[in-house]
Amino acid sequence: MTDIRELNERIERESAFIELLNLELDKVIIGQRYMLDRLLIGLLANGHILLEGVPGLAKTLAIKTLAQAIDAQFSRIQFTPDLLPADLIGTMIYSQKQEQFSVRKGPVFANFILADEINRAPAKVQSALLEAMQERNVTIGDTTHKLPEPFLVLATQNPVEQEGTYPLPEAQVDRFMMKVVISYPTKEDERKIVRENLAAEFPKPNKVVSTDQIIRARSIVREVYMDEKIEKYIIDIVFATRFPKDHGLAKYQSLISFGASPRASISLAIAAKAYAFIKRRGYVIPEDVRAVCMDVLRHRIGLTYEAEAENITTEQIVNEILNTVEVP
Amino acid sequence: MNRLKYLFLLVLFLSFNLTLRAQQAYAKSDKYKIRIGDQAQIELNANVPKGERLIWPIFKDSLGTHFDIVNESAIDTIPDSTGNGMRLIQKINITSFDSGRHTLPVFSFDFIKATGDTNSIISDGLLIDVLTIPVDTTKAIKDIRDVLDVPFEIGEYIPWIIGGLVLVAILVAGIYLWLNKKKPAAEIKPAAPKIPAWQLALSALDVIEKEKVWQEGKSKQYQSDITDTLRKYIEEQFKLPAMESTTEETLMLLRNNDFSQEAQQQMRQLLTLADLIKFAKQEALPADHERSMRMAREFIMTTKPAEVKPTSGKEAGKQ
Repeated sequence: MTDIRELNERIERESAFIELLNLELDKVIIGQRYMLDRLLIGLLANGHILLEGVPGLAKTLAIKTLAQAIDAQFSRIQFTPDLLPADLIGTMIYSQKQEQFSVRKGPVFANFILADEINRAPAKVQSALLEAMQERNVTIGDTTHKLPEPFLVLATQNPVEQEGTYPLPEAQVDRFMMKVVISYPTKEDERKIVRENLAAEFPKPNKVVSTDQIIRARSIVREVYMDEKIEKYIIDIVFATRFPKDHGLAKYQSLISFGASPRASISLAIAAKAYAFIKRRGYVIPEDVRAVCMDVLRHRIGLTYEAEAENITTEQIVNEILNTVEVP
Repeated sequence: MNRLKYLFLLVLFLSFNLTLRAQQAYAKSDKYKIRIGDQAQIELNANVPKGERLIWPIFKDSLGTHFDIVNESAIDTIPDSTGNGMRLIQKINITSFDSGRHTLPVFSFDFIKATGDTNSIISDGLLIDVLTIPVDTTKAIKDIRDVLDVPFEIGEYIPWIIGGLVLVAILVAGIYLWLNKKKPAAEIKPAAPKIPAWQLALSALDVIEKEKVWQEGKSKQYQSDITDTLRKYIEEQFKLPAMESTTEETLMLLRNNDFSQEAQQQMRQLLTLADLIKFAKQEALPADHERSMRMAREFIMTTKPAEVKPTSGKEAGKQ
């Protein structure tokens, strides 16, 4: 009892920066609250994010602004078919002056990485980035270099141009904690965007949070209380993607080729904790799970040819699961 | 000495001759002149002595370049009249579309003796004349004759007409019997009176109260039982998916379905407290539990459907 009250108070205190951060982000980014919340969840839950949306939706601006508001390093890597792993992680170069090889670190050595159009680069470059994401360190020559903390990768995919792309394999997509699909801003937001651009008013975010605060917040996020009823709810949802028939969703049995992995359960739990933290709560409620469920599961469910032929999407399946699994 | 030599040669000649006589094979045709496209039958005939084997000639769909095989019979095996072997016969129907005199290729019959020695007999080449039809080019070209009409005979159709009539009669009789079949009187079971959802919910709340769960320190279970009962009541009474909804979603369902402000407020207080107890380890005071139970009952009583009392005709008229 005392623990949870203490935790609540601590979270109330430690999550105060979220409001400041949101204020700074809102100064620069108009609309896209959903995407910004997901970026914060990724940041606090120590997970990477795959963003899907048409060009021009402020994806780059969002992560750049986040990096500026946090006083962190930011790198943008445009993935192209001729990109090499060394262009990403760095390489050894020979110095004639010093007569020895020295390490030149690549753009992956930053706190926030925007991997723009990740599916345009060949598999070896994709796997180099995904390995760095997973291991949190990079080996150049004989030396292993640790990546800076916090380390958040925001990879983007363009859903409309698929020619000449290298789609990420399921195993690699699974490494992204969330796949966020962003849509166009509302009419009101778009009018504000147009006005600001015409007036050439581009507000700059202030540095309101330090990386140390983020790292501290991450450890507190892990302490957010999750009741066993919530754990069971998460497991029920994930199992419903694997065995829909056992959860009253027999019609989806033939439409799902594979369900979400245990990594999905872990991601769902930690993302729900991060969401509760953003909402300045020291405990997880079913709303938190539902809020992040779609983004955590949509890229982790494999569809059969039958489902594709019937234009069934993973979003539909996740929605149906959420409407079927009983809330605790 | 010379006499012995001649005797040996004679014995050798006779034995060789006998072997040749025993192994016989030939091919013959039933016609040696056929019209173009007409068929001739070739007969392959071989005599196989006892203890020997014969490798039958192999052919595909044609014989040479001028003859096509129409069909061929199976190899017929007949015991030899002497009882010392078998006679093998195969008949092959051939045709040709090339006019002229053509030689049918020879057939090779390979005999294998018990000792493993082989001997081949080659049949004679058969000459077959394929005759063409002389065309009188001086006359005009005529059309191909039409298919001949067969005269209609009613006798051929009588069995079919009778069969059809019988079938129709059976069908009509079947339908008549089926329509006039007496249906067994359906057993009417008195339907059990359905207990309204609100009554069930109130009964469930009574049970929860009697179990005295929170008094035993199981506050979480107590609150879960109350909220589950209420959500089940909403689901069954109003057909709203409350069991699959979170607190906020449940409240939104009530708002969107025109529940009274009082009911919404009761539900908000009740679910929010239950969430804190269920998910945030919050300890509730006895008064909180009692209030939850009271609010749950009130919610059911205020939202249950109004009872329809039977009214007299006069009262109904007044209204």
